[in-house]
Amino acid sequence: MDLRESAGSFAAEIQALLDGVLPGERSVNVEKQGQRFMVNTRPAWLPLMVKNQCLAELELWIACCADSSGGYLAVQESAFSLRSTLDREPLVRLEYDRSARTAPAAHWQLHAERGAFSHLLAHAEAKSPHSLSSLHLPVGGARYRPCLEDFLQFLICECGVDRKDDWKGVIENGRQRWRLRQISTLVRDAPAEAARVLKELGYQIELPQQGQRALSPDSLRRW
Amino acid sequence: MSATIVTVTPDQLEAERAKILRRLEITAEEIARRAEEYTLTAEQAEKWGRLRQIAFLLGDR
Repeated sequence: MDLRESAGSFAAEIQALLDGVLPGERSVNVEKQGQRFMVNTRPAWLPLMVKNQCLAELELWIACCADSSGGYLAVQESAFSLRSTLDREPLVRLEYDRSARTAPAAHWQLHAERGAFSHLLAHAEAKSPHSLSSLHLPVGGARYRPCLEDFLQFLICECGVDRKDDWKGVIENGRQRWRLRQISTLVRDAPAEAARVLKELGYQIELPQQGQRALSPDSLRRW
Repeated sequence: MSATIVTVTPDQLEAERAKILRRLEITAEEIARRAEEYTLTAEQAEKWGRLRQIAFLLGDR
């Protein structure tokens, strides 16, 4: 499957996920420019209902390009944002940036105020002590980060957003698919560790002719 | 199963970015600075995501 096909089927999975979880209609699309792909929605901000009343909106987009091998589609950046319809300001965001160097690659940002926290940050001479949203709460780095399914379940279970009857099965199927993909990527990151565990489980593993593939420390060590 | 894939050109993306910035009456540098400082208005925050998407597609990020 080439990158274009991969992007198309990835977007179709997200379409099926949203349609299986949230009431209403929306479309998930892909924009392509060169070998870069943007998966996003129409409308850009999806209405979220609570007891049939639109109280919040969700923006989600996922930027994809070729991975380091050039053969697979990889997520370069993603953003899932919840905002209130009351003041149209963000409430929480779950973002990922594979190239982030100072902030953690995967992080939550909470748009809230807390005097005691600002007090601490001001004394620490933080750049924006009065804005808790300036903090990037790390969540597992590139490999162990939460998925869109986690964000959707957060909206439903913690924020009371209206959902379809069969939402939980749809989310759990999607989460399993996501985690299996992450396992595949982790095995490529650390093949010796994967081989060791498989041997413990009774599998017979042979080294490839070119020898042991090296550990990819970057994704395992960075926050 | 596959979603609709639309090929966009750099010219189209540049034009869309210029239109958004014109409507917001702000420069690309200024809105990026405000985002960095967490001082976007609600109207700017609404479009900031799209501006980031355009920047990615253009290879600016």
